Amino acid sequence: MVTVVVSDGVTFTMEQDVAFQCGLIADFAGGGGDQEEPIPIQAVNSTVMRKVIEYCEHHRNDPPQPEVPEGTPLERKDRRGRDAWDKQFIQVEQELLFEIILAANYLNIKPLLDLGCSQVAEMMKGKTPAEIQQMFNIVNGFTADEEAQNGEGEEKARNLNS
Amino acid sequence: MAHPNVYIMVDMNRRDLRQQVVQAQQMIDQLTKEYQAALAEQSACIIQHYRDLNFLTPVGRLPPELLVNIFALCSPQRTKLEELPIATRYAWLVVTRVCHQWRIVALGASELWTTISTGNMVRITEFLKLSSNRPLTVQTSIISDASFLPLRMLFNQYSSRIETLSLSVRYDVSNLVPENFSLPRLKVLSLINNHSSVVSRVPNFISHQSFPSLQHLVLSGWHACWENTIFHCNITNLVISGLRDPRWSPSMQGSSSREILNALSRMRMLESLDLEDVLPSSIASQTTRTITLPRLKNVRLSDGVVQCIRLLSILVYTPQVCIDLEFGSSRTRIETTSTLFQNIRSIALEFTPSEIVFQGFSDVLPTERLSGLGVRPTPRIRVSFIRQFHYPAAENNPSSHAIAWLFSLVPESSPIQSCFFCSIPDTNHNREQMTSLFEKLPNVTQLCVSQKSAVSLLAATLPSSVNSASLPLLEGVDVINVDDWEIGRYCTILNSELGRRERLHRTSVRHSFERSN
Repeated sequence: MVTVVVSDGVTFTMEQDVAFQCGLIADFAGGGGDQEEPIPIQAVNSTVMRKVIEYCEHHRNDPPQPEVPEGTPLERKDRRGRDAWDKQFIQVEQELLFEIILAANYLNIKPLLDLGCSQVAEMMKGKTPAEIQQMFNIVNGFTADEEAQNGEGEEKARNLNS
Repeated sequence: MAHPNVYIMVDMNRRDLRQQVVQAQQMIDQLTKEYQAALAEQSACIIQHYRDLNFLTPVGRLPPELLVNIFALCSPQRTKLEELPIATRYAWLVVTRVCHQWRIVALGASELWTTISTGNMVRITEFLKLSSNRPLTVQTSIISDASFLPLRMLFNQYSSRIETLSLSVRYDVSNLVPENFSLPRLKVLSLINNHSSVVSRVPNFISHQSFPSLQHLVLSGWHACWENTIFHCNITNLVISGLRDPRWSPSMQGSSSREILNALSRMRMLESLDLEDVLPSSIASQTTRTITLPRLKNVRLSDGVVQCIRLLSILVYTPQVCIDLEFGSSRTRIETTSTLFQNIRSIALEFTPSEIVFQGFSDVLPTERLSGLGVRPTPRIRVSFIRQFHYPAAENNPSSHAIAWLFSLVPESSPIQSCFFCSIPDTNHNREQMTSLFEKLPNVTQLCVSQKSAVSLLAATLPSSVNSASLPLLEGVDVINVDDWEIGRYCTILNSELGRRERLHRTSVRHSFERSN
């Protein structure tokens, strides 16, 4: 068994095959037997850790994913097709979604990171810049020069598409 | 007359006044400058404030490398890029216009700019500049001399950077390529002939000398060219589909069995083999040779049943190989096929209503392991079956008996995740069959339906299946390629019935109406 303690002080105990899907924990434990000392995970809170463990438990029997060769184009790195469970799992509030992505990145769980990033990409597909700004509650923060460049870019795109 | 001193006084006052005006003007200029600087500073502060606010949002906390990952996933899959209308091909570039931070990240990520699929030289120049020295993927259609010009520039100046080249050819390009042409780093080549009635020969620049590093080769719609040196020992993935025009069938053109077998035997590193409509009827008929392909992992054969089985019988591969077969029906009962079929992952049969002689397969097919099953129509269309159940029917409606038999091959709790139904007649019998089929598909998440009769059938059967908790994971239905105003009515039925189900709220029925060209 492996025990971790997260940023808000909550302790989680997991079986080794679940815990070792997190590259960080596997590295921390050194691939050895049971860990006596709890492993501190300061960058993740208990709400997010629960989701991470739920994911790892569901995928504990998955075959290992093949390594993606160096230089593979980024969009081909979406290695694991999302199954129905994954799709349902990742349907969460926006804030939690980004927390999961950050946690997956920190804990080094590549399939979960891919799943989260794919979900964000899906949310953005087919939307205009204004719609994306509204969806993520961000403002453009462009300087006048950048605004002018955007205008030129749109003009070029129109020419390209005409 | 005033005293002269008065004039002196006035003159002095005037000079003072003039000086005061000059000073005042200087002060105004100075204050204006300061005011403008303050305005600029205020504007910068506001912009900085907005940018800082963005960092407080959930998405603003993502580091640049994760943003780049997401941006890349927003772009279409490269294999499909060429098929997209140009208006949507670069739609993902909106990420550069969302906010300052995203713009900086996107423009600074050279890996996002390595796919060139436009003939627009301005755009190509921008992509080349932003992609630094990374390997390039080039995808384009050649329809005229003029459309080849950007490609010629890329071939001349960036030949050492091109690693993937995908050409859709509607024009004879043989004479356009310069002599001694070579792409020394090219690993993936896809050459699709979209005008086989005009051009049928593979362009003469296709050779091992031109592409010495080639590993992945796709040739579609060309006359057989098995003697070409391009089939060399470095090839790991080979996809060849023949000409659809029967006048150019391999048997008519005399592609010999020996040439094919020789080419295959040269490619000992082959990991994936996909052949469609290229095998002559004489393939391996009088040979005792075997071809060992020790690295083979996937085989897809789409051809006559005899050709498929003969080729499989002379290939030597490991037991881990997955085989997908699509073949035409035969009046000959298949013999000694049980061992050949042990690696089969999916199978599709070309359907002719009068030739229901496949029952013999039931004895040898490992149906419990099949994850795909389908029937091909005539004329043939290309389909993919992995984890799909594909049912495009023939022009002549298949008999109810055939549908019942086909559906019966689907095991209980099938792993199939998506189904495609095309032109199944909406009859009472087929409604019953469809309802029974849905009960065996607990993993299906997406249904796709085409042609009016199949949509009508689905509108009649799907709501009750969904309400009876069949298809528990279904997320949506795609209605495609239906050019009929009545389709709206069926979509309304599907939407109103399925919309009650929470899971279907998000995608519901998407009527992606696509007119064929």
